[in-house]
Amino acid sequence: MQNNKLTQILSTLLSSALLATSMTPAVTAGISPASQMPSFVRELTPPTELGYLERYYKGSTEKPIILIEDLHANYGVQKNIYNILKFLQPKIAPNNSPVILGMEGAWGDIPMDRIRKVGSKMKEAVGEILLKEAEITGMQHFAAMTEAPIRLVGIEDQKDYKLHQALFRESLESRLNLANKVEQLRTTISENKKEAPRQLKKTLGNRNRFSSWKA
Amino acid sequence: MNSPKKLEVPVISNYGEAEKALYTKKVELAQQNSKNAVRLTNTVKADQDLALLVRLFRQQLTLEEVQFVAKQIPEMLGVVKALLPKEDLEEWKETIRTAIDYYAMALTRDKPLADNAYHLTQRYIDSSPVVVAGGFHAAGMAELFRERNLSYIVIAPVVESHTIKDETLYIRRMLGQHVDLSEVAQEASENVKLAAHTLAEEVQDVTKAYNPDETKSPFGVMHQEVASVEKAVTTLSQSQFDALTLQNIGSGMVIDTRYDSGVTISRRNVSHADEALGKHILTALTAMGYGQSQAIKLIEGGVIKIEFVDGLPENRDGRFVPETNTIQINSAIKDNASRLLPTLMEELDHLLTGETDRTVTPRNILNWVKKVGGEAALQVLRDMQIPESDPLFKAVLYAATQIEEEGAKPMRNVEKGGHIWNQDLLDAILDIFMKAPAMAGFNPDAMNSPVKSDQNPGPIGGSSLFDRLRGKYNLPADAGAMAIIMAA
Repeated sequence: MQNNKLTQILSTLLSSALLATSMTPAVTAGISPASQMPSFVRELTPPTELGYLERYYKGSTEKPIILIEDLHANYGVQKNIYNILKFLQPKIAPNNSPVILGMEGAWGDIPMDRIRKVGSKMKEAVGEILLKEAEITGMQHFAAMTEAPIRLVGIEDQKDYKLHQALFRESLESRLNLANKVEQLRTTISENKKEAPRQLKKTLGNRNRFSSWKA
Repeated sequence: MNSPKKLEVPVISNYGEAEKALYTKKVELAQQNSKNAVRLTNTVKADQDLALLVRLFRQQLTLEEVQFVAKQIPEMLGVVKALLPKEDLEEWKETIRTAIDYYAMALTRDKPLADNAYHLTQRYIDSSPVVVAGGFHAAGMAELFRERNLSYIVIAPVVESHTIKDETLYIRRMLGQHVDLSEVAQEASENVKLAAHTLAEEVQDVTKAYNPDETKSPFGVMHQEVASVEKAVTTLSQSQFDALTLQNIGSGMVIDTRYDSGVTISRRNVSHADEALGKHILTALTAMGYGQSQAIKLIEGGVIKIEFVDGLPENRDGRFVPETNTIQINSAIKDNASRLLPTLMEELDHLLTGETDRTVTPRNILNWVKKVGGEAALQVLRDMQIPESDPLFKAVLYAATQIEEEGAKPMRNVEKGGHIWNQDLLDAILDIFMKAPAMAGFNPDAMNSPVKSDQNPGPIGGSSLFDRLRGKYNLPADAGAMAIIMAA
């Protein structure tokens, strides 16, 4: 029980830390109590075990865009995204209307028909493995699994994405090479901590904060 | 009850102010120790800069941190220069520029992502589209929605953990390295194996449909059977090369670069593949004094890359391309072993020794490594800050591997913080902290100073890699990474 509690606290802290990294002075969840939020915000905010409302804006459109922040290749996050989509589906696409899904890293309409025809047990089994292997995303898993009609659409500019991907790939070797050198240096200079005051000693060499929102 | 620890600053309204407050407090603490004040102050500075640099290189920074780091690059390079005086700072600058460009490009993607999400609202007017995008894009996309007066809600999923395994998977997938479908089938229960394989294949087909280049590695098409360590060991343990070995050398020269993070990058070193080429290379290397197994190591280890190209001048059989360690041979002579041999010998010598010091021959390298011991030889190169990508380093590495079986001389190492260090190197680095008071002359106020747009491109932006890729993808002139990042 205590472990569960601890896990819950750590999980909340970790998520809060991630959220804090991308907070802007825009309209944020912390500003207004739930009772003062627009109805669409209250309706679409997922249960806290799945995710948090980070910010919202009431503009001139009745149907809001729902933006879910991704942490790529993280199985737990992909599962939560999958479950958030399951939570949202009856609210945003009632009466057998299609769920409209916009996907990063892709462009144009993404055909899912053949996969959606496969039996659900099989899809679930394989989807789980592929999710763990970061071969598919929570959104793709949802698109394959849900019985509701869906439209899965890539929202990237192909050239921009390819350029970005190439930049990542071609710089990887030199970046990791220098990162390793710097890490070795940090280990060495941590030797200097010995004579530091206790309060300072705690803070040196201990800055590998969690932060991994991927660009 | 103890009162809560405070940084004693009135308000922290942004990331830069938080960094400044933390830094100032740490320096205060460091200076309480009058005997070691300089050393500890330098340590504080170095620790802060190096921690951010690592995360810049690993591309783990948040937007606020990128904006902060972008202004601190000269300071950080100063620390690197102080600690590693023999380091090639140009390489560092170029890598930092590329890392910053990466973030600028990420921000550039915000607009098409937001525009296309907007188009979904127009195309499906009665629906609330759901968009999933990396957290780094969220703030920028939300701002663009706001500019169009679109209602939106941003949801952050719960994150329970993020491990090195997740990071490694992310890198692998970004590199286009995919899970073996048979592994997927293997993991599935017995009665669904075949169907699981078929379904996984379909999933990969779909992926290829929307991202057709996904199966390519950054270094070209991935080899279908990536050389494993076991395969390399087996190959190298052969005292006589046979037809299969030759074929491997001719067509399967794949190097696995393994990183501590668990990432493996495989690349193909020879674009032209045939058995005859393997023979030519081996002949040339053995004529230079290498044993057969050494020659194979040099080739398979990636020290040498050879490709046949058209278009070399008629009076030039080959040329050495230093930045890629590639020897380009005139295609017209590829079947003429006797003519190829001197070209290969000359170019190999050039490759392994460099232009400035022709006295370092491969044979000399081998003798020297034998004399001092493999580990010691490699440590010397590391002490000299010679990068692992340097041909000399590679040559020594493979010479060291060659003599390993004969018994390498042990090094006089010490263990510090769980790592093995050369004592001399350690002493030298610690000494720098005592003798480099200039590092402490850091102005914390600069941390939060605004950067004006007319200062762009500033000390960073416009890496040569980005410029080259930009040309390849026919994108317009660079707006300047600094301008993009600071405007975000």
